[in-house]
Amino acid sequence: MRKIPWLLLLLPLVLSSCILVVDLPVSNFRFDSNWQRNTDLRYVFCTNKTTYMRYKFRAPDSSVISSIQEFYQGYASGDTLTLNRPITDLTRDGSDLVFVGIVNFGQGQVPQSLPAGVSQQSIVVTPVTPPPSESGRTTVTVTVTTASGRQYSGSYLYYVYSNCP
Amino acid sequence: MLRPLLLLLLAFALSSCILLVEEDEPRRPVQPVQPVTPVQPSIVTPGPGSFTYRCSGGTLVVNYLDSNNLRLFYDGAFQSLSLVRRSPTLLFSGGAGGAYTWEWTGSRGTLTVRGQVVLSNCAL
Repeated sequence: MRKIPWLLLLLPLVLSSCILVVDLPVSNFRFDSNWQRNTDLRYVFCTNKTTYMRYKFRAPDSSVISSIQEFYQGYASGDTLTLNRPITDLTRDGSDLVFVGIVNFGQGQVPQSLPAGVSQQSIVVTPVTPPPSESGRTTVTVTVTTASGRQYSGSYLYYVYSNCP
Repeated sequence: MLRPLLLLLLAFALSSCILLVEEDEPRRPVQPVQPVTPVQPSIVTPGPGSFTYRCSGGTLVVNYLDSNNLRLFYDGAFQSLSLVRRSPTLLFSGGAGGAYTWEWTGSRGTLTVRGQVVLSNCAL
């Protein structure tokens, strides 16, 4: 009779030490570019220079991914662009899937169109002292849909500069 | 003997001549002509709507609100400019401190900030 309260007391204690590890099929979205604002280390776009954009996310098993969608929204223009990105445009780097593209700027290409096939090695991040000429902002959102229909997404706001030194 | 014959022939030949004399047309009354002033082809304001120009120096987003007003994004903020001149090029001025001008030739644009050209040769 006396043992039952003791056991009841021990059970929550034992259960509380359990750590349930659930590995998400897609996680940890990261974005960068080859231009980094040296005041706050934020990645930016330079419209007068060759600009690469890169995003990556953790996805140990590519086979669970059914689609990848990119959504670009320009703050100054109000333009939006939705692109379906074939998974074959991404390369594997350990547990990560990586996409690198050249950012094209201009009417009809705003926010940008990203031709595939640029290797991630081509990204050399250059620190840039921000010129006063911030001429836009582009929000990039990547949404990955798995075979089960679950969606995972990450987003980044790129400040856009003209006349980068 | 031959002389009278020649005279006769000459008279005969001359009688076959037809003399055509054009008569002058009756003169019409002349309308007074207004002096023509040379007209500069007017440059149409683009838009309304938002345009992203590619320039020497980068890109520029200009939003034409109507034929006299526009809004462009530069120096991290929207700058509101108004039309100050229509010829020979469209010239808009304004923004923070009145420091911004946007000149549009009809095919190319130039952005000037505080008297300095910052974006030139802008085109769609």
